[in-house]
Amino acid sequence: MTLRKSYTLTFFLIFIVMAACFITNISLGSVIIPWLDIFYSLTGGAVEKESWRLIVLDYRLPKAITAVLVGSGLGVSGLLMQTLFRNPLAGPFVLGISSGASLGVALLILGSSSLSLVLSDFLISKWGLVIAASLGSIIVLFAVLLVSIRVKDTMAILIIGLMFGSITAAVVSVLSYFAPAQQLQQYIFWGFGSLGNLSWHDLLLFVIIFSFGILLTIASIKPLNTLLLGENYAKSMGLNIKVSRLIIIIATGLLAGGITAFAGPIAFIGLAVPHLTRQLYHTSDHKILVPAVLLMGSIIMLICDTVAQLPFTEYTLPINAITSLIGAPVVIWLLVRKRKMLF
Amino acid sequence: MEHQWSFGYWYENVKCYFNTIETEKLNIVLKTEDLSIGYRTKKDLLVVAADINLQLYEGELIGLVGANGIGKSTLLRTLSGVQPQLHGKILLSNKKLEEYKNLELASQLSVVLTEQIASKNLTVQELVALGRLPYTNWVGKLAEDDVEKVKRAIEVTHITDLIAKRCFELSDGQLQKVLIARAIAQDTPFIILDEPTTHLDVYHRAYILKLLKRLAFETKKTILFSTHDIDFAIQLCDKMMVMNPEGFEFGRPKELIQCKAFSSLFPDDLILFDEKTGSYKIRG
Repeated sequence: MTLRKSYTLTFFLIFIVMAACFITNISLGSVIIPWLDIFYSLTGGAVEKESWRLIVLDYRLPKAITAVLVGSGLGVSGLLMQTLFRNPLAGPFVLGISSGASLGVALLILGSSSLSLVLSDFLISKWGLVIAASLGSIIVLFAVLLVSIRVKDTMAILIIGLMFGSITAAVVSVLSYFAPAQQLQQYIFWGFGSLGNLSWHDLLLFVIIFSFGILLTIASIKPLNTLLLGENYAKSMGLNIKVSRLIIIIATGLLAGGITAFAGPIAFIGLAVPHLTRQLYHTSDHKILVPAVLLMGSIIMLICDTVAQLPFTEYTLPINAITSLIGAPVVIWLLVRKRKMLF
Repeated sequence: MEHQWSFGYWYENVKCYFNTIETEKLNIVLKTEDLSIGYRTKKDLLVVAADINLQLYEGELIGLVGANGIGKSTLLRTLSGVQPQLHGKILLSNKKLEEYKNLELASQLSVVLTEQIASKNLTVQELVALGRLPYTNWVGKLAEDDVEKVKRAIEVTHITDLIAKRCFELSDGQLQKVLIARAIAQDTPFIILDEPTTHLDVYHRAYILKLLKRLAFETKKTILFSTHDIDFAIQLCDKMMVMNPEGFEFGRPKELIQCKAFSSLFPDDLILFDEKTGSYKIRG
């Protein structure tokens, strides 16, 4: 039972760290706002400048919440992929799932120029983006899955994921060649990734999609643990593989697709966070890993976003660049230190 | 003779009496009638083996032997319900195998496969506990009874000193013991093992088979395994199945030796079966 106690302690500490990261994240930015005023803007007290309250409530707070959702959601979808594909290198980006979402968005933004204006206005709304991205990611997921049923070799599955990524990239470049400049720019900015573009209204929609994805994940905890032994063992323990696989794929599609729609394609978080969490918790039990990945993903994403803000300067870096700069070395470090990555 | 009247003496006598009754009406765990196995394609049937009639009783250790590619795995896959039979009946605990629901079957039949487990990051404790998942609630929380059964499975397979280790730290022999412990934890009357002794040295092959023998006896489970260690199997198994090119044979090892089942197992240009020692010898 000491084991359980140590998990509780780790969860408590991680939660404190997350809270600290969250507060740091909303405290720092291009505009220097004193701590007290940030506190007052959140609690509704008197703030020295009204614009500060606006910055904190309508920009920094939604952005921090977006960071939490993006980080935790990508982490969880990475965890789901790693267990489902029995592959420590799986993740929404590596398997081409994010590319699928990009393709959906590209078809929508770049392809809509040929449609009538009224229709395209509706389509490029946030709803349109979410639906296109989720559909794109779920389609690629099913394609990868179909191939993975025929090809048992896990390396081959990764390479196929990369190939899907290339195909979508190619389609996107063909589309962009013919697209008008305005739409192209819109797509390219979306591709940089951004956490700060969401209004409270968008955020509500994001939370709803995120919650569905997480609910399906929680419902899959037992199947995920059973799958740790491999599919044939899982079958022998009475697991309905087809149903479980479908639920896991829909959960991943909603999480990775939804996140890509709202925040753009964000690399490495989905791959790196589950590994960092396993390092910290020394377990593969999804009862522990799912909540732990949620917290760890939030922390990493909040840190990345704080760095991307380049506090005290007026510049902001694309978030996708920061996650790659932090995430890629983490993966390399894990590979070098542990020799082989396990899940 | 004072001890004749002691409780222990009386108890032993009564126990012996009941034991004899038990052996008289041992339960049949698995029964097949005119079973034929193989593959069904759109055009025709590929029959791997036919007319298989088996009766496996509780507490028996059964070895399945045959040359590579003869269809041992096909038989095991059919008996474990992974693959449908072509013809005939399979009764597991008096119920047709195909009538079992997934979860219900998981409480009757557990397996140890040749394939690698997917996650080698699991600790031994976690892996053995996974055997209890068919009985747990929707998140897989272990009840007191489950914890107790996991503990017993760990003790009976003698892996108590390994429980904190991760699977990638284990040797092949240790991993095999752990996988057997997982199957024991699943607590099913029937266990199927697909070649549990491959990749092991001669000592550990004997160790695993002795372990299976003891488990079958102590836990009253019916254990069926396929193997290439024919001489060990002859020494240890209660019954054996021999898959020859000519047909399927089932019986006690001694009977099978007498009817020369092992002699026709392989082509006789290189090796010959020696009936006295129950093993194969290189042709001189």
